[in-house]
Amino acid sequence: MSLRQFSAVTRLALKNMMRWRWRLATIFFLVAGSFSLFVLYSSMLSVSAQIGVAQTESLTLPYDLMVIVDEGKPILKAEELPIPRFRRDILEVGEEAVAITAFTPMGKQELLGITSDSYFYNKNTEVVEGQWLSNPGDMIVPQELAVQYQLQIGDQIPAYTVYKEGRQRKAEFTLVGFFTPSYQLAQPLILEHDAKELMLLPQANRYMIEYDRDEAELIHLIEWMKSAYPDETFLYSTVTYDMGNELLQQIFQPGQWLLVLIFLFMGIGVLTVSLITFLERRRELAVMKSIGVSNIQIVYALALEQGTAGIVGVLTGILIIFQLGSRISWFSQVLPEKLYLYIGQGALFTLLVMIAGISFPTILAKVATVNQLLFARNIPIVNTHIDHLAKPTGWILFREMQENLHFLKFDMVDGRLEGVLLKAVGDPVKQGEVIATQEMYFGLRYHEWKSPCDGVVAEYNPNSGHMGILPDDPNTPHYPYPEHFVQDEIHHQKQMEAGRAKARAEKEISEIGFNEK
Amino acid sequence: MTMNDNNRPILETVNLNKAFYLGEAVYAVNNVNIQVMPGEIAIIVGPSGSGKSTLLSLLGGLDRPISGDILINDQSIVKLNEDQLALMRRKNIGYVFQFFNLIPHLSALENVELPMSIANMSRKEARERARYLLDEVGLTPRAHHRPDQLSGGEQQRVAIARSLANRPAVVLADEPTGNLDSRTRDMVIDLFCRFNKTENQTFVLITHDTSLTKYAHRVITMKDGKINTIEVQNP
Repeated sequence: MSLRQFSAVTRLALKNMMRWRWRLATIFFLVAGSFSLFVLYSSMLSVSAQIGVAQTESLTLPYDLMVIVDEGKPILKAEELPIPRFRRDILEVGEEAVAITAFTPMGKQELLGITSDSYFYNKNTEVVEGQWLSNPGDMIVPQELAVQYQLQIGDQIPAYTVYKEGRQRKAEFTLVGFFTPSYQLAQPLILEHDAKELMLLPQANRYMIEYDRDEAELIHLIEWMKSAYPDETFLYSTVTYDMGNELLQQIFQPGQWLLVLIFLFMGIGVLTVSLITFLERRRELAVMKSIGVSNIQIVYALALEQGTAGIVGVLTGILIIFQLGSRISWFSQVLPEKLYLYIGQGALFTLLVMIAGISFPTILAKVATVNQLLFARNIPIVNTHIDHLAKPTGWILFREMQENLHFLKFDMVDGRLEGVLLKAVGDPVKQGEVIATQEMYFGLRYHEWKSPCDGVVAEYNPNSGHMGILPDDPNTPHYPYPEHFVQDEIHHQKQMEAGRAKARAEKEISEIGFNEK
Repeated sequence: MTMNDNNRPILETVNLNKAFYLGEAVYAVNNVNIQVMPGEIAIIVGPSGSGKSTLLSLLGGLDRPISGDILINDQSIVKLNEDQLALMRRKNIGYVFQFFNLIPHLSALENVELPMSIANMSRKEARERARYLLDEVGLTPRAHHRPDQLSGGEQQRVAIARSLANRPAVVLADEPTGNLDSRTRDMVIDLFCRFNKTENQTFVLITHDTSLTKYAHRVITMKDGKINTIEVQNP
């Protein structure tokens, strides 16, 4: 389309927009309303979710999730976990530990046995005095605890544990360092091997996990880990995550449906207006086609008309969002990146709806003849032209080869062609001449069977729908079916002939035998 | 006007067929062979239901035949897709509908200008030719009126001016006088004759009014979808 044509069609589209201004205004209101409602509602859900998460942030841990496994039960290896998605994306780090409860000079404490190169505790602690765990019998404690109990580096810390049937074990630890944690609920740390010995535990009883997604994914992770460890206890950033989870579930489940409904409302509204407008504009489109307006020019004009309504609708929607937002108390709590995300999502959905709204009339305008646009009740979108056997079957194919007939097969229902048969046996036909037509799916699909050659309709079987055409020129080539169709049929015919010969021979033998008797 | 050898028909049909399903298959156009030479006025006459309008729709590419061929300037149009047909019509065919079919929200001038604008003519040239054509059909004072502000005869004259806009090879007119009173009818037929003489424009008109045949170089009579007679005469 040249610049002049582009300009001419743009002028025409602007005139059309004036003519159809109330229809376009309807689209504009639908888009602006649905778009702003979608963004505001999504933002509200996001703020609600943030409130749920915020409650959890008062308690921090060095890991994202700890599975507390009962004594005697195994820690599952990462590769034994049933959902690969979490193994790959979520379980960035998993680490075993041994927790024991011991009586110490600091009172009853939970000592955590870790490896000296523990990912979680090396990352989240800072040794402020002394050194990190390195030798058996080492212990380091949070500085806060050390201050509280006036502990010194090198102090001997006895620890008593109670295990099976009330029996006690005692171990002596050497205080080698103080640390400041970047998390709450800090415990004294010892080496994993020491912890196992003290409790006579052969295996770890804690499994710590770090995930690499946002909070919403953690909820999935927790749910899934609960399915992997159905009877165990879990520790994660705070127990309020459970509350947050429930809250989010309650909010998001109906909320998501409402978001879908908003766009369904917009989609159905825009499509209905587009369809009604198209039906009223069929004559106009027909005239445009009759004076030589090409399909791309029609598409451009329609896209400009409806696209303008859609774009202005989205821009007005954004204006509404910020205007209304300034009067809503929670709106200022919406994270900017979330707001832009929702605006982007809303704009994308709007774009899809507008494309669907424009596609239907433009497809119809493209495929329809001028007369169909002017007069036809149904306009077929899919046109199929068939001039040979679409699914050649053996026997018919064999007859094509042997008897020099050219077959067509119509779609029959209960021995009747659900369409128009234009030729009868004995009628002459020309190559490409339409022999039968059929409309399907409310006229949206149109089949046309055309004669494959010049000739005469030699036979027609209304039960099967096969019509055989005898060509005028006996040398008319057949449709080039794939070679294996022909070979399969020749093979089949040979087998049939062999079977018949065998049957004849057996019959002859049996008759001879009978006569001899 | 598109160049054409005067000895070759500008419009030709070869064994043209079109059938409709009305309980049974009815051939509205049955094996029609006609030729129209450049610079002719050809009039197709016949009673109602004889297939005239169907034939004209096929000639203009507004509908598709079930078999046969249509040649315009020796170019077959039956195998063109809808987009190619639109381009072909833009260059070669002007179409005058019985019910005018002007675009309702455009003025008379804009209706005439539109085919030229979308055919890549400059806006100035298109406007000048549109004014010239409207002047020729006697509608200069009504140039800025919309179709609903024009009478039937005036609308038909705008439609004729529009059909001539791109200097097509042939103008096809479907009952152009069918909805007009006798005075307006004479005015419209006079227009066809004038453009035929001054611009050597080829016209194919269909009508059931046999009194118009005196203006034609070629009179084609149809009955039951078939060509009954073809008479060549001096109008």
